[in-house]
Amino acid sequence: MRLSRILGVAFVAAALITPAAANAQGVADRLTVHGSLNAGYGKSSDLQIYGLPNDGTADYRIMTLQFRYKISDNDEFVTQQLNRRVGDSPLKSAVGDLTTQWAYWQHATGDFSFKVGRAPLPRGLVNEVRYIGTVLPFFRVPIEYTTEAFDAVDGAVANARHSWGRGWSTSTFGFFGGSENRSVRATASGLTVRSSRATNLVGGQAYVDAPGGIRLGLYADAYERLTDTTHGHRVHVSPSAQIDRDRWMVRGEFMRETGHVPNSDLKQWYVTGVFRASEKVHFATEHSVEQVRQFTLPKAPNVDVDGMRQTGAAINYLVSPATVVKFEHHWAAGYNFESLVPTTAIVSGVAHVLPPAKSNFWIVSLAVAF
Amino acid sequence: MPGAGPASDSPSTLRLMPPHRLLQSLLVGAALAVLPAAASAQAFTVVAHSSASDELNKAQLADIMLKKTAKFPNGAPAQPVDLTKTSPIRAAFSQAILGKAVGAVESYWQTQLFGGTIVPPAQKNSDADIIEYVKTTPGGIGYVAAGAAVPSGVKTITVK
Repeated sequence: MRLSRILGVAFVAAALITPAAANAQGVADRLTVHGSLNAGYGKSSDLQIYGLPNDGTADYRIMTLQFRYKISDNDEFVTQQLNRRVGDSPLKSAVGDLTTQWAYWQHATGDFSFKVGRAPLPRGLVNEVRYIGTVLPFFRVPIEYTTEAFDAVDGAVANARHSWGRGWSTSTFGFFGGSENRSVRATASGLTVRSSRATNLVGGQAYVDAPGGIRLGLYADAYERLTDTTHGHRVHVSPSAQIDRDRWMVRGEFMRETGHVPNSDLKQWYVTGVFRASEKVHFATEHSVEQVRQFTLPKAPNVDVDGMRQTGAAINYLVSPATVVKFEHHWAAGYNFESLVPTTAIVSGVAHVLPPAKSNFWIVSLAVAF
Repeated sequence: MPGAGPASDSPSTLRLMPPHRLLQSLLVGAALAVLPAAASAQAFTVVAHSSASDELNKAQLADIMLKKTAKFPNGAPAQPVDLTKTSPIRAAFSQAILGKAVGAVESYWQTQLFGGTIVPPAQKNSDADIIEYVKTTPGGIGYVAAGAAVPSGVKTITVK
């Protein structure tokens, strides 16, 4: 579904609700605006990665502006606009100056709610806040896990929450629709941005919150993957776990993608640890991996290759919970750099996996939210 | 040498401590650990609209204030309200009931808000504003300084 149609559906739904309560409050009482800025300077040591060139770039920024308009006690219209600058990444040709990340109508009754339009996709623990620097220990979420895909669903999302008492609660989501997705690939002829569309996307996410700051999650989806030349099928399954205590937090997520046309067997995971040395100073570390199964090796069994393996360390200084300064350093090894790193070579008619390339990068950034 | 000289806090010395002294130390330590929570619990009073449940346990109250549920145990809808983030009463409430510092709770609300899930409760500047909110809002629930005047029509909630 194209954005114009999504906006149309959301606006029609909102318009049907609005007259009933239109005169009760003024616009100023009904409209709330929130925003975030995540701006950084970064550079890489060797091969360019995530848009960070060797000579550095300050053209690295994510801004969001969220507008919430309360239509009635139970209904609201929400839109979030996104501005991204991605350094020298080839994604910059595909990322507009201003894109509508979300535009949906939400109806909530008690512990049940549903959204219609372009809504955040409930996937794991950080997907919906992937652009909000004040709640992330690094500039961005682990991209090996989230990829540049599935941050929103064009369709419908339903949610039910329940408190079971004694500190236990659950939240379950079901969704249906589609999603526009992108990936950057280095080829012999240069860098390309590949676009695909997930259609007939159906799935769910369940969270369990337990005493002691424990949060567990399980996500699953299935969809048809369309490109200009292919029509395939994919399935994702992703368990998540997090323990968040006063002084420390550990979070880990795993994603498995399987499918065909073309064949796909992908494993993505990360572990993040945060130590809160004081209210102002937090230390963080992260390890993330994307493992790709190579199906195309002649005269050799399929083999799993670490497309990217990355370790990061960061120090966060919290001026306040809504203003955070970060310095982070990452060590990356693999093949998914923004220049061609061959994965395999044919020797005497037999394919061999080549050694990975390595590059480091660092980012200093400021995150603000209101 | 065990038990000798000024190094009285060495592990060896602890092993030589008479059992009644060790028990005394443990009891004093336990009392000190409990006291701050008890002091915090006395720093505020939980108030609510007349439709609210008469009593809540800590976990139920935390779930309502963090909007993990939109209902009281009696099934009535809940509309929580907070004091502003600089309020010392909010700091005491956050630590005692939510088990988190106000900064951590603010991060939680940023995650919910920017995650598109739920919006934080309204924030009020004073006890009087909280009282007014819970009196006039069906399901309203908040907290005020202990000893604040609670007018008729506003329920004081017992937290077990």
